[in-house]
Amino acid sequence: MMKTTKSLTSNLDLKKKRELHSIKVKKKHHSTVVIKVNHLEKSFQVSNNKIPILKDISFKVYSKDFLIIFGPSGCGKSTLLNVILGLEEPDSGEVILRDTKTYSLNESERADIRAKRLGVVYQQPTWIRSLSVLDNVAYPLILTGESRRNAINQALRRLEEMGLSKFRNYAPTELSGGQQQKVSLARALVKNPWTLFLDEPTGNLDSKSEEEIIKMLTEINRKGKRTIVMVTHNYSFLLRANRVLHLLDGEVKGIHESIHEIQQFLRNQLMPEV
Amino acid sequence: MKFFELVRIAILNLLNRKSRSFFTIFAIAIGMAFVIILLSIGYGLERLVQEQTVGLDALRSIDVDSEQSAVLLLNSDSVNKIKQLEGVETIIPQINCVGKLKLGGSVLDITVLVMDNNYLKYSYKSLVAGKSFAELSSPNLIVNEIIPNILGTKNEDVNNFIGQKAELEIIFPTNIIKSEDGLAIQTRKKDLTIESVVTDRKNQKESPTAYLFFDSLPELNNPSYSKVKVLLSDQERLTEVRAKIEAMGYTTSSAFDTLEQIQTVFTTFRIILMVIGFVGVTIAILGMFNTLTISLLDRMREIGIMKALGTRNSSVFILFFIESITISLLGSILGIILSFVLGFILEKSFQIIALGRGVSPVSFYYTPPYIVFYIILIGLFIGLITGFYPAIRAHKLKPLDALRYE
Ligand SMILES: Nc1ncnc2c1ncn2[C@@H]1O[C@H](COP(=O)(O)OP(=O)(O)OP(=O)(O)O)[C@@H](O)[C@H]1O
Ligand SMILES: [Mg+2]
Repeated sequence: MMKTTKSLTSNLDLKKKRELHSIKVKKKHHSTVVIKVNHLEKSFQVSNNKIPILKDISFKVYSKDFLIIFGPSGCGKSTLLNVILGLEEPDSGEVILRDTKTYSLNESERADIRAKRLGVVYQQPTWIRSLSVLDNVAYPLILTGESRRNAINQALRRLEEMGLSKFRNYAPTELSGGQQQKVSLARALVKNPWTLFLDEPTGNLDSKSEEEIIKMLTEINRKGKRTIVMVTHNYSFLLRANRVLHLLDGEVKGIHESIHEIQQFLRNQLMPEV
Repeated sequence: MKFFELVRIAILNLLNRKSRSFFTIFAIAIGMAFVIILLSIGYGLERLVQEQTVGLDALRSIDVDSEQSAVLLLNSDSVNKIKQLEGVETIIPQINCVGKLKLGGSVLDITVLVMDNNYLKYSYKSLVAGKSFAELSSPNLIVNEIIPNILGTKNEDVNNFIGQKAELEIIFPTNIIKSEDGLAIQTRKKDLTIESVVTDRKNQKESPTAYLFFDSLPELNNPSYSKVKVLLSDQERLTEVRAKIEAMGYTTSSAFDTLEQIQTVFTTFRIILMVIGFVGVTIAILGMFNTLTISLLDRMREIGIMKALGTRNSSVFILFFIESITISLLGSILGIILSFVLGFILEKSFQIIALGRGVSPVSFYYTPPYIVFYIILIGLFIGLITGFYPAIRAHKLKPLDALRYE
């Protein structure tokens, strides 16, 4: 299933590309698998009905991936992300982070994994309101027992990178939506997580802030070599990813693993009748 | 997560909602102050009544009587034995006799009390005129106010009484001094100078009495005492020491017997006051519970993000407990301070009113120090019970449900 191509030429004819593909299948440059999702099933009980939301979902995330989980509203993207984060126990199947089966751990151990290894940004920025911007960014480090001095220093560095250090003593809610989302990003990154997870991070933002955030994410992925898993239903992000997992009605409709495939997918999505 | 980081966040949370936190703390403080003030009035009144009836030291004193028995004497040997008992602080022996006082032209039948300096101190005599108790020694004669009164000396002229020469004839009871021939009654005549006039502080009715130091009667060689007052270091030991003395064969009595009745009355009184006080505290507790619940609902999403970021349920649980305990402890401490201030004002204003009416002011307010300790303990307890429900809810909250909370 893992295929890669370095071909960026879109003018090649389809058949030729398919050939090229199959040749390069074995030469994949992805390094280690960081997340493995195996046969996830999740349903919710709504009144008397058990409604299946995730149906036999399997895929892998490789180190340094920028994976986008894409699909229409209500298809189960957030649910999938939360299952991976250890926040929503699946009915069956497993999530393996590096070598750890998430759901063989108890709740506190899963919390500890999130605290140490997983960064997360939600659509709606949420804060510990009594803490300043700087304290909020430092919180994940404090959580893992880091000394206050270290935590504050590292948090300040993150804020400086985002150009927000002058707001360090503000209450987070005093910042604009775009600024808040950048602070969320700083908070998610401060502990140098294995993987950065984002759920619709620009869903509430204007296009300028959206552009800034997505630029930052690209940099974090390319220069910072950080693995990113992002949930979105926004087409304009797709080309930033190196892999796109297409989710539809709780099923994996396809995984697109090259720029070309993503472009192709995008074209089909925008002009479904063609 | 480090405990002090949780404490820091808890305190910042309280500071973040300053007026809400303050009013909650203040409500607890008022409730606590109310309890302390009511209890202090209860204890103060009890103390006042005790002081007026028997005096404070009575609580820790035992009267030992000689049985008028020739077999079991209450002499210095037996007094020494009692003194050896654990918990005994002071022994105050006395001999009661009768006598005739010749003063000027008059002769008075009076009571004669042979005693030592401790007697004056612990039997609530205060000086009206003459030498202070510390300066007194044999062979001085001390008389109570009744004697000059009977002789027609006005209160303001009592000073003239000091320095007068008097002849005192003392008639000893049979068992005090045995004459060689075994004849019953012994008498002694002494020429003495009146050095002090005393009065009873408790305004008890007294017969005309003269007080004489043991040293003034050297012929009383190892006498039997009529009565020995045993003063304990601690009133807790009273029952125990009393039993030991009775085991030696003496009869004892104690003001404690009457005090017990007073105490029963006041214990009931205090319980009633306490119940009233705790109604106030209960209202404060409800207010605090309300605040904490609002604070929980107010921070649902916050709890959600904390958990999503990897905060353990137990840390969230502890955080809420720290907040509730901080509120109740600060409330208790503030309540203690408040009660001291209000109690002081209360007492002073009553004193001013009393003085204004020409009544001598009395103290009806007393806060036993251990109340402070109990109030802190109760504060801690209130923090625990009011904090428990919000803390357990915060603990159980699913992060995703919390994040979705509107
Ligand atoms: N706790 C829950 N109880 C019941 N149903 C739920 C629960 N959480 C999610 N669902 C349902 O599962 C489906 C998928 O929800 P999910 O939030 O994963 O969708 P999504 O793809 O993230 O949508 P969007 O793009 O709008 O955020 C929805 O129909 C939703 O109603
Ligand atoms: Mg969603």
